[in-house]
Amino acid sequence: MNSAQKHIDCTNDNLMWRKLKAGDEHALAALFRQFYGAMFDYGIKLTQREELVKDAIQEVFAYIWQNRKSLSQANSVIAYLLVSLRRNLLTTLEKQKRMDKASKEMHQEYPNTAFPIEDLMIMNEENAAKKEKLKTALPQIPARLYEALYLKTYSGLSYNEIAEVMKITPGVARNYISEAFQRLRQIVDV
Amino acid sequence: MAQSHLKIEDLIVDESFQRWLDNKASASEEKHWIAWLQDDRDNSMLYRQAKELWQTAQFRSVPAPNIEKELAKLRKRLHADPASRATVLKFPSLKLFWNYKQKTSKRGIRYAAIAATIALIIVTWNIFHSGNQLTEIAQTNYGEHKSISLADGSTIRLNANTVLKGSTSPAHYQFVLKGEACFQVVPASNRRFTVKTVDGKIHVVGTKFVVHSRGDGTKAVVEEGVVQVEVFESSDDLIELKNGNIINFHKGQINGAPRKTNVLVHTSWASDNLVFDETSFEEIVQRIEETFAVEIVVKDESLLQEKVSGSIENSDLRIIIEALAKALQVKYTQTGNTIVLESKLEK
Repeated sequence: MNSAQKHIDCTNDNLMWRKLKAGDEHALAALFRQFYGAMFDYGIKLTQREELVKDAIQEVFAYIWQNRKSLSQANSVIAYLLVSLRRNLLTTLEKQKRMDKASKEMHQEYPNTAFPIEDLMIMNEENAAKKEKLKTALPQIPARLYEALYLKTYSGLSYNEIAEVMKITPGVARNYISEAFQRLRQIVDV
Repeated sequence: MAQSHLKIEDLIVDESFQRWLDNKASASEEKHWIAWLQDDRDNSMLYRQAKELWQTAQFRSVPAPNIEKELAKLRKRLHADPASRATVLKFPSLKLFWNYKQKTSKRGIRYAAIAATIALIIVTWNIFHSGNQLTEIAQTNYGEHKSISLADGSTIRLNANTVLKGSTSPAHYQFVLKGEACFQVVPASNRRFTVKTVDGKIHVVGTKFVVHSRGDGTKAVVEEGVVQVEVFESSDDLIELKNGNIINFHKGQINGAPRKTNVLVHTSWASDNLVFDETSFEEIVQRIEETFAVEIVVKDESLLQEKVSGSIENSDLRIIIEALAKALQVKYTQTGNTIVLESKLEK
């Protein structure tokens, strides 16, 4: 597990965000360095296409810098960045899907094949029989539950932040996590 | 918070407990959970199960690209001159040549080469007709092109600085255009295809055409096939426009009958080469100003009447201006969004 990407110091983020709004480019660079890994990882989970994700992250930061004066004070910087990235990626995918009918299948990865089950650490399971069982059972967990679970255990977001990123209420975010754990538990027999 | 009869599901959704599992709990939270653990023997069982489940739900990380390199890319972008950024055309270009004032004797060959397509060009600059409730389909910025595929296989390519609105019901594809676009329409007897500009309307049945509509009237050019042009104030008469022909109309008035034209001159913006055929430099200047957000100042006004023929790589503004300046044998300077073409050099 990559713990370096998980630790998010909120007080420092908000300070950097204020500095960025005031036009401090060092603050922009600091936020870029701090959150790039978390953003890239999340983007890859959504689309599995590296170039698309890299471009989208560039867009997000360029937008933030160009519109810094009108940005609100973000409650959670990580949630703001992830929701911007998510919106950017889904818009791009939607556009491509519309414009490029031929490669439609390729672009329909959200939500069908987003959050590939192979990315769950549990798939390191060495027992072959158990692994087979996981392979068939895990895909039955809906992608949105996976996404919420990822934002919780990997990105370390609170329910409020997950709600912001996924455009749901904090109560629903909590239900998603609860449901995801219940399903996981049934599958792995904890 | 901690009840002795907690279920694992209740426990694992508790954010304080999650922080504790992740070693991110505050000192008081940690104290609380350790006390809870010691409170009941069942709790340590619950804790072990919850921890196992939590670890099951961990995701693998993906190796990130070189962050410093990505940051450098961002900085370069943020510090780029907005004007120069706007000039990059978003499609690949081919290496081409430029012939200044070369009389084309190959016109016939060119027509033969394009016989398989129809292009209708429309240009308008005015505001859309009021009262149209059509939704925006696509929009391009200066220096940007976009392609749109329609459900029936027809395609639309938008030139820079263009807005396309419309609706596509199975029986009638209708569009409203401000700017310039090339339409390639798949024949279909049971559906109408119309393109409206502020100046009039074009009816299409299986054809390729370009529409150019930028406020100084609408220009329609048919590359292959036939379209019918309906100008608003004489809507009883549909004017037939055949392949290789151009028509200009402005606010419901036709400017002359359809006439032959070198279609490539009007359609080449959508390809890798810009083509000119006895095209006045004035028209080229206007075209560049429409496509890229620049103002071109020509010091020697007689230059504007020069006729230019040939083709040029349709890649970015700098290449186009350099080729033009070379062909016209003038020097140019660019300051921000203004390009100044000096007077002709002495021989």
